[in-house]
Amino acid sequence: MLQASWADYLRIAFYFVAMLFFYRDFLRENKVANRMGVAILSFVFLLDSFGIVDYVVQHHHFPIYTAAQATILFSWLLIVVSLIMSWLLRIDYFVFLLTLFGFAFSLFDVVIHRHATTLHVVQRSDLLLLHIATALLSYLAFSVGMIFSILYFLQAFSLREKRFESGPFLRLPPLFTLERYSFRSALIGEILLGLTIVYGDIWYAMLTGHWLDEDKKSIMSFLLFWHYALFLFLRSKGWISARTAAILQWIGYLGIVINFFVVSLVVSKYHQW
Amino acid sequence: MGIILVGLNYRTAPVELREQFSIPESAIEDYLKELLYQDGIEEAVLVSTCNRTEIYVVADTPTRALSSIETLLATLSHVNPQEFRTHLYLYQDLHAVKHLLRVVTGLDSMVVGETQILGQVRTAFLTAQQHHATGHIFNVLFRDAIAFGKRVQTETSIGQSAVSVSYAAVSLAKKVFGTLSQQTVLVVGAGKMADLTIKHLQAQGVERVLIVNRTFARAQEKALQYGGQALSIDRLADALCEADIVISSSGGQDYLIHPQVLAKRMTTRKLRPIFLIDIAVPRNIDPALAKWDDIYVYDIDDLQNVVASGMAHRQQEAQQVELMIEEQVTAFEHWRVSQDGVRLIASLQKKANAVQDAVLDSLFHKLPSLDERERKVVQKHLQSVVNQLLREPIASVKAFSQMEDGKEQLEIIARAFGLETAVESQSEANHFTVNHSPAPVKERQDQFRVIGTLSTI
Repeated sequence: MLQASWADYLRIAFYFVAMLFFYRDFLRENKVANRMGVAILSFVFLLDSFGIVDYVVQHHHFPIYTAAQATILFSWLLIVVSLIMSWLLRIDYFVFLLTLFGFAFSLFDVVIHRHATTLHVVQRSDLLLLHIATALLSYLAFSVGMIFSILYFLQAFSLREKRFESGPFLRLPPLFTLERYSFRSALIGEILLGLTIVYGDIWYAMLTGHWLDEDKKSIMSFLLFWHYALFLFLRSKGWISARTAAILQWIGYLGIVINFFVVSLVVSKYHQW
Repeated sequence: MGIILVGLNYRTAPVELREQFSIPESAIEDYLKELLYQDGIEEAVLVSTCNRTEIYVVADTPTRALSSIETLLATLSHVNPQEFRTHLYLYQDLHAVKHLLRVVTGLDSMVVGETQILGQVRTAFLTAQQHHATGHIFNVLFRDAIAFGKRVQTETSIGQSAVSVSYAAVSLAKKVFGTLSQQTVLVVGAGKMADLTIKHLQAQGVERVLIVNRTFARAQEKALQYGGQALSIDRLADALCEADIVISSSGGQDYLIHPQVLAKRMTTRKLRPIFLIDIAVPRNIDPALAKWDDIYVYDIDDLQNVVASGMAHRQQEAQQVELMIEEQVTAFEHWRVSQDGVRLIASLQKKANAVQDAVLDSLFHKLPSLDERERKVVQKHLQSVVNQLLREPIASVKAFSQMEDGKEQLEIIARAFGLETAVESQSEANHFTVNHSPAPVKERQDQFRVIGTLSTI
C-alpha cells in the first residue's frame, strides 16, 4: 500500500491529469484525449493494484480494516469500474463523471480524511470483512446508479428541450438504457446495503452480546435502506415517473455521502468509516 | 508503376449519362480481362454504383492506360468519347489514393458519411481479386482503404446522424427507447411521410403497428399494407394505451391527441414513456403535452432541425475525417517509397551477383588448375567482399526508404551504382508519383478533367 505522502500526491496528480483528458473529451468529443485518459487511469490502476498486492503479501489480509485503507480500496474499485465502462460500454460521459467523483474522493481522502482518521486496527473476523466489503460495493453500486441518473437527466433534458446538436443528445445512450442501468445499479446497491447492515449487526452482537442500535451511522444506513427500497418499489410499480425516480435517487445518494463522510467522521461514536 | 483512376460521378455527370456507364455485375469479369489484356496495365478494380463509375488501374505509362480506359468506357456505354470526355475526372497516384479514401469514408458521397459505399467498394475489390485482377499494390491499397473506412465509422460519428425527416423520427425514437423491436407503433391518419417513417421503423425491428384513421376503410387498407391492426378513430384513446410511439399525420383543425385523451394512457401504462411525432399541419397533437413527464412530443419543424443538426454534425466530423485521410495517404506514400527501396536493393544485389559471376568465370578460366575446394574458397571470399561492399549502401537504402523525402537519395544511390535501368524506371515512377500531371497526361488535358487538387471538383 502506498503510504508515503509523495506517492499519494503523485497518484492524485496522475488521477487529475487523467480527469483533464476525460474533461477535454467531455467538452468536445476527442478520441485521442479519451485514450490518453484511459491510459493514465490504467497507470493509476496499476499503481494501486501493486500497492494492494504488496500489502496482501506482507500482511496476509486485505487492506480494508482502517478508514484510509478502505478509502483507497474504494477508490481502486471506482477506477476498475471506470476502465470496464470505457472498455465495454464506451459511455464517455459516464467515465468522466465517475473519474471526477473518484478524483474528488481521493483528494478528500488525502487532504482531510487521512489526517482526521485514527488508523486503529479493529477486531477482525470474516463477518467484519464481509460487512466492510459489502458496504464498499454497495457505495460503488449507488455511485454508479447516481451517475447514470445524472446522465438520464442530461439526455432527457436534451430531448425535451430539443437540443439536437448537444453532446448528451449525440453521445449518450437512449433514455431507456440509462434509466435501466440506473435502476439496476440502485437495486444491486440496495441488496448489498441490506447485507451490510445484517453482517454488521450480527458481527457486533457476536462481539459484544447486544445490538448496535444507538449508533448514528447504523440508524442512518437503516433509513437509507428504506429510502432506496421505497424508491425501487414505486418505480418498479410505475407509480412515479423516471424523472421523480431520478430525484429520489439523488436524495438517497446525498444521504449516502453524508453517511460516509459526515456521520462517520463527526457524529458516529462507534463507526470511524 | 503508378495508380490511375478515371471515373465519373453524380457531380460530373447527369443520371442520363451515368446510367450508360453502369457496369452490370455479370460483365465485370469481361471488362477486367479486357483491361488487363492491354499492354502496360498490371492491376484493375472497377467500382460501379448508381452515383459513380470508377476505374482504378496500376499502369506503367499513363497515356496508354488512359487510352485503354477510354476505349473500354466507349465500348461499355456505346457513347462517342467526344461526348463523355468532359464528364470524366482523372486522378493519379496519391491523388487517386486520396480520392479512394474519400470514397470509402463517404466524404465523396451525395449524403456525406453514408456507409453503403464502403460495402460497394469492398465488393468491387473482392470481385477484382477473385478474377486475379489485383496485385501487390491494389491488394495493399484496397485492403488498407477498406480497413480505414471501417475505422472511420468506428472512431467518428460521421454516419450516425439522421439526414432525412422520416429517419429523423426513427433516430429520435431510438434516443428514447434504444431498441424498437418491442415497441408498439400507432399511426394516426395517412400520408407519404407517415408511410416512410413506418418503413424505417419496421426496418428497425418494429413488429406491432396500429393504424387509426377517420375513414376506417383507409385504416384497413394501410393495416394490410404494413401488416398492422386497423382501428376506428373513436378507439384512439384505447390505441394510445397500447402505443409507445405515435405518428400522427391526420387532417383537421383540432388536436386529436390532447391531455384528456392521454391521461388514461399515462395511468394504465404506468408512466412508461410515450414518443409522439406530429407531422401534420395543422398539428394533431397538443404541444402542451410536452410539459408532462415521460412524454416526448416533436413536430415537423423539430424533425427538420434534427436533419439540419445531423447534416452539420456530419460536416463537422468530415473535417476530422479529412485529417485522418491525410495521415493515411502519407502512410501509403511511405509504403510506396519503401517498396522503391526494396526494388533498388534487389537491383543492386542482382548487379553485384552478375559482376561476381563474371569475375569468377574469368578467374577460373585463367586458373584452370584450381581444384574444387580452392574454387569454393575463392568464391566464398569474393562473395564476402561483395557483401561487405554492399552492406553500407543497402543500409542506406533501407534508411532512405523510411524517410519522407528519401526518393531523391534512392535515385542518387541508383545512379552511383550505375543502375541505369533502375534509375530510369525509378525516375519515371517518381515523376509519375510526385508530379500529378506528367508530360504524357498533359497532352490529354484538353480531353480529360485532370484534377490537380480535390477542391477543383
